[in-house]
Amino acid sequence: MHSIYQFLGESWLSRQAQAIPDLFAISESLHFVGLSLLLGSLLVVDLRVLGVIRGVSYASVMVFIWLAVVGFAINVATGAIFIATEPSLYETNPAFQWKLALIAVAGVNAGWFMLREHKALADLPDDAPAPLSAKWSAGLSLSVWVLVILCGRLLPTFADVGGG
Amino acid sequence: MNFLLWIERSWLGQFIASDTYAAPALLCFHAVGMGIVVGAIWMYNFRILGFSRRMSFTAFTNLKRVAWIGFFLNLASGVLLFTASASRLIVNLNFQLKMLFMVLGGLTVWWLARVVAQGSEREEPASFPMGVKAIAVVSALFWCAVIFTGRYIAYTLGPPNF
Repeated sequence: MHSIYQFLGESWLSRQAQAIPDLFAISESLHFVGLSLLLGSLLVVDLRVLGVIRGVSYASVMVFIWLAVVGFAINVATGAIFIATEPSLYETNPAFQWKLALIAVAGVNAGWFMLREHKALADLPDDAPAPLSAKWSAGLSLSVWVLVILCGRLLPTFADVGGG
Repeated sequence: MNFLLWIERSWLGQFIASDTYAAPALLCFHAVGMGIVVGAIWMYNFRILGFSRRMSFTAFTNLKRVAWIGFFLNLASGVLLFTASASRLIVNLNFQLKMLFMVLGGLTVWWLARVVAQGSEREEPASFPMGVKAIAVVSALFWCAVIFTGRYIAYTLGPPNF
């Protein structure tokens, strides 16, 4: 049974990463670009639901969620390049394991939000407050994504823990 | 340069440079602040480019406050990180370019905010003139350049001066 780390480490992507000296640094920069797109978009949507942003309808801010999807896609792609370049840095890294778990939590929360909260919110007038359950979901979204950023940023610090 | 070396050799500079967790913790703040500042500015840029035209610019009055919190978070964490390698950063081309792009990025946002504020006297414009949209694109690219040059500092910083 091959792990995803082995698979990426032996992939075409890995050989490109060894051959192109700047690919890792460029990917890191693009990972920050994706992060900013994701967080910026979620700030607009979640802060509207939380009531920090006022005077605009939920439906009009929800258009920005597409930029979060783009940002996330950029970061999955660049993230795969990181693992392909240096699988051992991630496989046993507790910061990376926490990061993946938190992304899963964020994903479940986003799914809940779209299936259970989105419909009621879509009909809200400009200044109407969101239901409490939607506010909890929006607050969880921002908190979890900030924790994802922290885990990512701490990856190099915890790289050698557990790696032996 | 003597002053910068003095900062580096100060208790604070030495602590941030040598402590296992000081610099990583500051970099954590710096990453979150970056996402807030650049993310908020990019949403502003996208809105000016015609994204979600139904959303009034009122949304950005409160987002602006959040963005300023992010900015001061990064100013504080950035200054503290600077103390650990002041003399090396000041001569680093990527650091110099990052500061330049931040000033240019800030100026473009300030200019765009002025255009938007003038519009709100009457009805909000259905669409901005091409010149304004061009500045919104340039603004987004300046902040992209801030991210790239910032990341490249890590790869180009010279060895310590002592």
